[in-house]
Amino acid sequence: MEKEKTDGSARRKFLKFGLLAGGATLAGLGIQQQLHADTIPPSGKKIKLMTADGKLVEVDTNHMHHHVAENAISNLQARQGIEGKKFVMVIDLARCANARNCVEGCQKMHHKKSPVEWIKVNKMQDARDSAPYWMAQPCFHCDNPPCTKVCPVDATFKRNDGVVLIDNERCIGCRFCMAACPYNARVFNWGANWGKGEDSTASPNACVTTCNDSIETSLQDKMGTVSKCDFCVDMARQSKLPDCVTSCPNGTLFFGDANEDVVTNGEDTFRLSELIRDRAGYRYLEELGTEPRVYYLPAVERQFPFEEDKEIHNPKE
Amino acid sequence: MIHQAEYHSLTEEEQRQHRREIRDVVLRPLRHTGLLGKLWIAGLIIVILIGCYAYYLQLRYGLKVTAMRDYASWGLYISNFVFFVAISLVGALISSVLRLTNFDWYRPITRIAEIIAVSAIIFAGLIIIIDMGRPDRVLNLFTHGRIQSPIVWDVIVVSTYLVTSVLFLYMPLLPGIALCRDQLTEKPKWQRWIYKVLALGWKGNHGQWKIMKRSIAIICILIIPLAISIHTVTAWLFATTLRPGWDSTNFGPYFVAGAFQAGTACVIIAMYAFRKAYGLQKYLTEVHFNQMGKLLVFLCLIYAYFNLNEYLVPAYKMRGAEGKLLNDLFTGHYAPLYWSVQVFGMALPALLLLWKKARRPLPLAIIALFVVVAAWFKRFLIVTPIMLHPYTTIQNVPPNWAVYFPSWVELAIVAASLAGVLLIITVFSKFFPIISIWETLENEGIELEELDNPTKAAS
Amino acid sequence: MTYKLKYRISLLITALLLFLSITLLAQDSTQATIALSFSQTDTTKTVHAMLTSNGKPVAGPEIHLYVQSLYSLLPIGKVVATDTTGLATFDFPIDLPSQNGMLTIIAKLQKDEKYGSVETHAAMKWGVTTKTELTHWSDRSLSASREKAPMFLVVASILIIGIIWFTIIYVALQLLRIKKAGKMAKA
Repeated sequence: MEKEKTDGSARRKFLKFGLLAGGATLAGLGIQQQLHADTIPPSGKKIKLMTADGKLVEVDTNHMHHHVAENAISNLQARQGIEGKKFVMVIDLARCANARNCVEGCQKMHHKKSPVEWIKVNKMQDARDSAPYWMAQPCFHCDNPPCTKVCPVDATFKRNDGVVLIDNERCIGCRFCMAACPYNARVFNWGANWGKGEDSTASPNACVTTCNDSIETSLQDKMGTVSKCDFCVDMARQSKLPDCVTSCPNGTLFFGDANEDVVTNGEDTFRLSELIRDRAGYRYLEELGTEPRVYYLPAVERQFPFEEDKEIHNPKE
Repeated sequence: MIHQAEYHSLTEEEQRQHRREIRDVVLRPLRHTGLLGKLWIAGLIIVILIGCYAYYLQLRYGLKVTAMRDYASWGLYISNFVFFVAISLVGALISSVLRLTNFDWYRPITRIAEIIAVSAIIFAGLIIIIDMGRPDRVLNLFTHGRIQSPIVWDVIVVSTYLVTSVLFLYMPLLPGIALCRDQLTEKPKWQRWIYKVLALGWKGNHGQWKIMKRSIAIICILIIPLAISIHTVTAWLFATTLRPGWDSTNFGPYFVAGAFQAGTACVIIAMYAFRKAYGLQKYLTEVHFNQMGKLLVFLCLIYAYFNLNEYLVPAYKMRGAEGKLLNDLFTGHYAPLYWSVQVFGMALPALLLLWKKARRPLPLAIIALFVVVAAWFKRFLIVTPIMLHPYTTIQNVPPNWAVYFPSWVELAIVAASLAGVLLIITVFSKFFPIISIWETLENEGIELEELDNPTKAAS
Repeated sequence: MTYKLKYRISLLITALLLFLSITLLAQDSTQATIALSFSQTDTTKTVHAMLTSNGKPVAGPEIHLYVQSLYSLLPIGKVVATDTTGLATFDFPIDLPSQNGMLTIIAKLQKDEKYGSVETHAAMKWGVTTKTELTHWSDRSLSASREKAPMFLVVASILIIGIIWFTIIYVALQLLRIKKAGKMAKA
């Protein structure tokens, strides 16, 4: 009798916890949707989640922002690219206000920390008397890439979907691609765990292990190799926008498939050709002939007045 | 050295005496090493060991132990590489170009030039591997190499040039090795065995001479385009990029001209060092220094011409980022270094050496030293300042990322590579005659038949 | 577990379930549907959206037209309010590219006070098939991978390297001849 009673109460306990957890998940997801647009610093607010194997874990709320680990993509697939896509990005300089959320979002996504930046936000001033503006610069994934031309071991390559990737297993660290890129898009891993951000995912079954599965995941930075912005192609396979695009509070970056002629910043969607035509889109340093896949919309009719940087970024290694 | 007519006026005994004298003098350094020589070798070895430790640190902690960062991603290793490739061209210049002309005075110098070339190109290859972030993957160059990449072209031409230069060093050395085999009977067994094997059974008979001379003639012709290629391809490592300052059509000839100049200066220094240390005054005479001095003036002037094209023309335009770079070189951060290099390494030598008194051995060697040191710094000025002037200004980086001053690891490794080159040359001169005896004698008009029996001639 | 605690937990669960049901079911009190029909001529494409509720046409609410794209919905034209017959007509772009010509067209009534949110999908082969490949990806070029090196470069390098190394090996073989010539002269 005694035993039955304890068994029964244990089961009830379990059920109630389960319901609580389930409800909490839904509520948590709801909250997460609300706060989707802004990046969330580690809130310290923990949530109990049930993992697939029945364990109850505590995870910080912003970690549900992470993408789901993908299945392994073979090297050949990674070199071919996602079929039928031609990725392109448009950056609206009229909106860029040096919020640097794109920088931080990208760093969080790829487990990097300052001063390693795959997307840079630079102050630009075209002429001595012209107005300065802020410009976000990821890798442009050029159609005539100077970097893939010079790689001696075919470690960096152009794919059919427009993306230029790096195979960190093959790179010999000669840094010729870095010398060849006129936009300084590439960074080097000068030491072990160079610029490696704190592994904010408490649970070990998150990204890090499974996300080393293919060249596309770009989490396999090795010491002595080169890395750079990868247009988040692993997210693209799950129809998710890159982190820089979704992190920007002003919707500055637009991303999409040129084959569909559509770009979006998560909220607004435009036809790529119309956007470039109507807003006089151009490419940075077009005269170099690199044919970038990132278009810029000039900083006219700005949404924010230009403000100088209030703080020094990346003060130390 | 005596002239042909003079030689034939001697009696047979005196002629034999003359030949014996040459052999004795040339073989003396192989027989014993003075205290200075021993200290020199010990010093070089110490520098190399320090460099090895520095490289161990680099392998363990990665390239962050250098001062290179994302913007100045090519630093001292690459400029040192360019310097070594430059020096190694002199082998082709002296041994081949001058051989094809009828300037006989250079003949004793050929081996010095060739060993400088070989050791420089060996260390050029080594320093490039040292610069790699993943030297454990160096084989990828061969298994996954892309023929479109200038680095692959460089690997191909440098290894081809190395093999050709070794052949070019070895073949004319055969009579010398045979001499060592026959004369240096007091040496340890292993050394005598090396001589025996390397001598390839050299007897000095007519058939062997014929084959050897023909082979040398073939290499002479082959090595000139090879030498020009190695430095042109090295120049293209920079010229094929879109960076302001490197994006120049002038780079190939500019580098080759600078290479000949710097290499010649190196040979002059080596000539002076061997002359002094090994008492070779009779074979590396004031005439030789005079001629080398004239050659150096000529090469300095040619290099000055290419420098003019390289700097004056962009300076006339002052285009964008290139303009900023030139300002930095001419009047800014790098101005002291830039002008010292141009004045002391090029303009002043060309001027001073027009004066015959300056072409005497010691003054010439000092001026040549300035030229070589300036050449090394010039290579630095070609590589790193350009990287610190990209199209988009450097922003939001730690302060040490926007400048470049080499760390002790880089300096130690570079010093070790220089010491390595000097060590190879020194050790070579201790094992093999540094003067090409048969060529010296041939220059004097002594027919080769008289060299047929070295043992007979030595008696 | 104490009785009090049990009570609190059940209360919490009930509250949660209630909250969920309200949000999920609060959508509509009145049902409405959109029916899509399409017409085209040589030079134009038109989409007709008919808004009805319980069989009766609804005039006034604004309908949005979208096309489904990879990450989001591309708005087509401006919002059009339904006319008295409940019909909203949209001009559809004739040059919208699509991989196989298929487009998913979506008409939406968004957050209407009375009818809530209503949405309809339809698939039409109104896309212009474009070349989906990058123009020069499979060409031989300097920036391509190693298998696709330009022909002139491959041929020239093989020729040059071949000729030079042939000469070098020939010269190196002369060394063997020298050795042999030495042996012969021994006698």
